[in-house]
Amino acid sequence: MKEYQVIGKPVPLIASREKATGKAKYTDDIRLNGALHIKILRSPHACADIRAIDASGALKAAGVRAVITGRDFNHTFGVLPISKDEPALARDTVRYVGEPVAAVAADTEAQAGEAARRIRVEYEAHDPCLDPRAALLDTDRPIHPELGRGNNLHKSARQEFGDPARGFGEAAAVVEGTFDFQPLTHGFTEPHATQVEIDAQGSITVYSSTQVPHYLHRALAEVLEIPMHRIRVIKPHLGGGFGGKSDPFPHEMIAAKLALITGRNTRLSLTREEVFSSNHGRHPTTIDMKLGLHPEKGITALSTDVLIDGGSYGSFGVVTTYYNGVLLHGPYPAPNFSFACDRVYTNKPMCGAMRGHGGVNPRFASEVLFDMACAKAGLDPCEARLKFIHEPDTVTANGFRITSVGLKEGLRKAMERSAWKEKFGKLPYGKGIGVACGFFISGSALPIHWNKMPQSTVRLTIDFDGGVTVYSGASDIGQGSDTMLAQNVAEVLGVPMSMIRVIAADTGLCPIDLGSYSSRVTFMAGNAARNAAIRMRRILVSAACKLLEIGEPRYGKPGGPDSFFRQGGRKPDFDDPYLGPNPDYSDGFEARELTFRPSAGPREGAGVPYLDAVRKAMDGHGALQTQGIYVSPKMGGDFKGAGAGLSPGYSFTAFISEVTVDPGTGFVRVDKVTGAHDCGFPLNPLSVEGQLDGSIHMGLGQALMEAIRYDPKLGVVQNASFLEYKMLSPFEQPEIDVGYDANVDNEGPFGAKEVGEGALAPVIPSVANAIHDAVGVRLRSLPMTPDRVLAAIEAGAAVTPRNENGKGGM
Amino acid sequence: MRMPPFRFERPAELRQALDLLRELDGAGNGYVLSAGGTDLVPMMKSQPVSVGSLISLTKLKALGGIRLDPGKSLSLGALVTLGDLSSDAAVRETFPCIAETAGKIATPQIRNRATVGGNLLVDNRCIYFNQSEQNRLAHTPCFKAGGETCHLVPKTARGDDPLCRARFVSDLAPVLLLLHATIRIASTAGERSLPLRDFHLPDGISRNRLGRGEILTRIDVPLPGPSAGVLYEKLRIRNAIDFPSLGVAVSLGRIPGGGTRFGAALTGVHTRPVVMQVDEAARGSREESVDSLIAGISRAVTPFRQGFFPPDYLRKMIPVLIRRNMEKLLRKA
Ligand SMILES: Cc1cc2nc3c(=O)[nH]c(=O)nc-3n(C[C@H](O)[C@H](O)[C@H](O)COP(=O)(O)OP(=O)(O)OC[C@H]3O[C@@H](n4cnc5c(N)ncnc54)[C@H](O)[C@@H]3O)c2cc1C
Ligand code: SF4
Repeated sequence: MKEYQVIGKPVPLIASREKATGKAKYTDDIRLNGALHIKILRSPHACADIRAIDASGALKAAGVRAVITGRDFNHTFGVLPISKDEPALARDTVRYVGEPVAAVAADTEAQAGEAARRIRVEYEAHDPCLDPRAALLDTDRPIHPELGRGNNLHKSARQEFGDPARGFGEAAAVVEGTFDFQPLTHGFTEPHATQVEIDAQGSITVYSSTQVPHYLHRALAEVLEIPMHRIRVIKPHLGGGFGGKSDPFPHEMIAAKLALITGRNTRLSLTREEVFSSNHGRHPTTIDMKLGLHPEKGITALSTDVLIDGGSYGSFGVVTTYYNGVLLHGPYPAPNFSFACDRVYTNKPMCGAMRGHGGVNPRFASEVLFDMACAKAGLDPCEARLKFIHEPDTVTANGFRITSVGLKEGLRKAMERSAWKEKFGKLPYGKGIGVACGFFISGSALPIHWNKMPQSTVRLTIDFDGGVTVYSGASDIGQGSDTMLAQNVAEVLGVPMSMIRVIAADTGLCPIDLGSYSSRVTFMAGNAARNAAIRMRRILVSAACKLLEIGEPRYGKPGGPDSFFRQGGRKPDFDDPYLGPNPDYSDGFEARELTFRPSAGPREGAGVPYLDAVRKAMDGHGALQTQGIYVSPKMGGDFKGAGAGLSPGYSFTAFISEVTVDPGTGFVRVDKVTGAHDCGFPLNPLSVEGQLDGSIHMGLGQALMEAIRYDPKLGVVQNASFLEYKMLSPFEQPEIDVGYDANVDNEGPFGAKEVGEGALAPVIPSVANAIHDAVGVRLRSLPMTPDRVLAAIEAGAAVTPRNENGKGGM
Repeated sequence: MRMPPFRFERPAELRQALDLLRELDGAGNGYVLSAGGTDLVPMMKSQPVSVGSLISLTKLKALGGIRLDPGKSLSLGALVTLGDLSSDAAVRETFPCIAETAGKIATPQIRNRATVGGNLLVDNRCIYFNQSEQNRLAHTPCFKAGGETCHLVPKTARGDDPLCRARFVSDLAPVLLLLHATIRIASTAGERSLPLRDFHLPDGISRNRLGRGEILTRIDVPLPGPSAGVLYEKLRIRNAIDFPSLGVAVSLGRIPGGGTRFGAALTGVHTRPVVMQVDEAARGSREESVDSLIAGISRAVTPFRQGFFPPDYLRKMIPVLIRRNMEKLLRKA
């Protein structure tokens, strides 16, 4: 394998020192001149009509500069153009407890809070619809009457491939079950915050903790009814997103509106409770799934019927609806496949995208069923998975293009390291080992707003000082994307990381990028940065040739993969504005340690210092500037929903978890997770490990304890704090041994694929399968809390005969 | 979250503090006492009304220090922090269970400030009360919030009984109860002392017998404790931060004149801590004694859905944890 200089090396994130020392400025740390403080008045009802709002008391209160209500907005918004159903402030009805109803801007935070309390809202409360099953029934008070439906259905998706009935007929083992999932919050550290700076021309700069500056920019223009060019969105340092900051939010519209009305700068920060009531977390879900397995053919049929509870608004819900089905087309082929998913509206805070978006819950169901089928068919769960994982360069039943797959070797090694063969089915009662696999997209191939723009554009400049500036619209949300961009550029240009400055997530300065979601940034923005750097390299190499008085390298169409699986039939072309994904840029020069050296020819080994090349290139030309783009190859079928889940690359994961179950109390301790993640070539092992540890931590939270609890009658969140909403403490984090051997993906930048999301899902079923190995019970509801485990053991003890280890059958 | 403004006082002497309390009470002014403030401050943040004056006790020397009087007692100043309690050599030597229990409370940062006195006086908790102002707007105010109703036990279930069922959550109380601790309380009228077991009340609002104008000064634990010691097990979903969903302390000792005394105390599942002892009947078996202890103490508590675990699970765990820990003590004895 090629020896790189910065790629593949553990590089500390470029902002880590600033963050660790407290210097980094997050949105709330910004101090704008004389900013007004905003307080949002929220609904105490889950379902009510607003009869009247009397803000006179608030307007008379000390320090108050403006009060706004739903009447001040003419447009609703939403991240998806197909469900722009959310108002900045509720107009005639409120749809969940905590929905913004009015907002006050005042000189101090205390004044804003005091004034908000003086707003009188007259509500006519109605019985809320809180149960997703009830939401499917006819009602004369639908939550979104504008859809013209007599019930609360939001979105239905149906797909079928092959012949499921025949497939089940061919199976050696058919298993099925109903699986139940709770609502979850992302649990990021930094609550949402927004500050708005307004200039004398009435143009606004919106600082916001967002994963999607671009979508926020668009939504602001629409909701505020001002031209897009009068808006600039900047994402300062961000304290975690996980999908919880990937929509435009009401508070962002409110802060901007109040700045426009008052002509003053404005600021607001949500409390943790407000974050809970804004939600956008994982959908509560019920899945009925059936799986047929054959010892030689693999999954002969898979059918699934899903109901997801979307809460009050659309958010990413249409995508979630599809992802609940389409992400089951890996990690194993399922030629006969049927899927139905309904998303309903209920009077709860809306659900949206959360790490592993839409793929986590169905993965739990399918991997538990796969385990059950193995037990029934007498197959070793690891061996069976090994056998049926997708082969590279294949197409799934629904038209996903599966390119690189590096999981088999990884799983094999994980089996050895965990001593799977010696342990599975052989540990004493209470101890167990279980396996599960998963796969995930590296970015969505289709844009949310239909257009032919590249998914990602990155601009590079080099000026007289030799410093390289990378301009990218991608949002570093703590995951390290700025560092990733800098690494790509540093590697191509042969300059140290310290000479690279990344200016990102500023819609006024940076070229368009769609944002940080669907694990797209490394694959797409990384490729764009790499391409911009290759173009820059050509300029510098050309200058170096002049200084060395040799001819310039001839750039033709470099050799490259030309099959359907590589780049959708396109070859990289150095004369084209688009170089293609991950093009080979060998130009006969070696660029390292700030020197360009020809690696052959008459001046072989002669060095041109980087700065000399820069100056030469600038002669008669000025500052150097290049641009790189990423465009997804064309792919996918031609049927409804064919675009959902299409990605230029897929990551693959396998986890083997070992647990100890206390049969007296039902407590489950996860002792160790061994596994493998195929993220292609690991650009930065430090980041890869951070993401894997984090995915396991977050996945185990869902597995063992996390759930938002709503009051069953009122719909108010009962545990809106990190004391009562239980995420894993460091004590519950297991020992981790996950390999990520380099498996080069031809299209990812330097061979990389995603690592941020895919690894979350499979850890959950691996624990469920390990619990089964330990005490012989199958858990189908998350979280697998001690009370549920104990109840299952007690029920299981009554019906399941035990084998010699005291363990149950299927 | 910002709290409403309040007056801050930090008297230097106990006498001064007691006079100040009497003065405030005389003038009808509200006040709260604060030791570490770890329980108080989050509560103040979520309350819309000011507490009046906040009297910090942290300078009162009379409330400090761990004093060992060998063979007689271990005296803990009310202001001793849980951090110090968990690492103090004299405590570890005489009553390791106190040190271990203190080390299981909250987090290291909180233990650096939280005090043992504050722990015995920690407010009772309820999912309807320990909420922000915004959350409580969705409900009508309950008894504890000065209202006329209870959401945890609605009127249909409780009849006219106006008790608040907010649960008692101190981890140290059950251990100190089995160690027969007594507490000392000062007021301008002098100092009084009472057994800890008589201190707590079965109501989530009045909670205990600390009167207006009174300050808890010390906790005295007589030596020697039960011969085989005390064990405490804290049931909670996470091994850090969390309050006990259920806390079970058990003790095993000898009755003067022969026979075994089995003790158990519970926290987290009732409005007050509950303690019970059973002496091994002359001709009864060990199992029978433990069974009757379990039956008795289970009857004395009423867990509600107030936290992470469903009440019937908590009920089921009481015998499991008592038996397990009793067996450990029996093996030791
Ligand atoms: C995140 C978190 C987790 C927690 N986890 C636990 C847990 O696991 N177990 C547990 O038991 N507790 C827990 N607590 C509660 C609390 O921190 C501890 O009980 C602590 O010991 C309280 O001590 P303090 O000195 O901080 O009390 P303060 O907050 O200062 O006072 C608590 C109460 O006691 C009164 N008071 C204090 N000292 C005196 C005195 N000398 N005389 C008269 N009145 C007095 C105060 O007026 C107040 O009403 C937790 C708290 C938090 C915030
Ligand atoms: S138990 Fe107490 S705190 Fe809880 S709702 Fe009832 S009165 Fe309020």
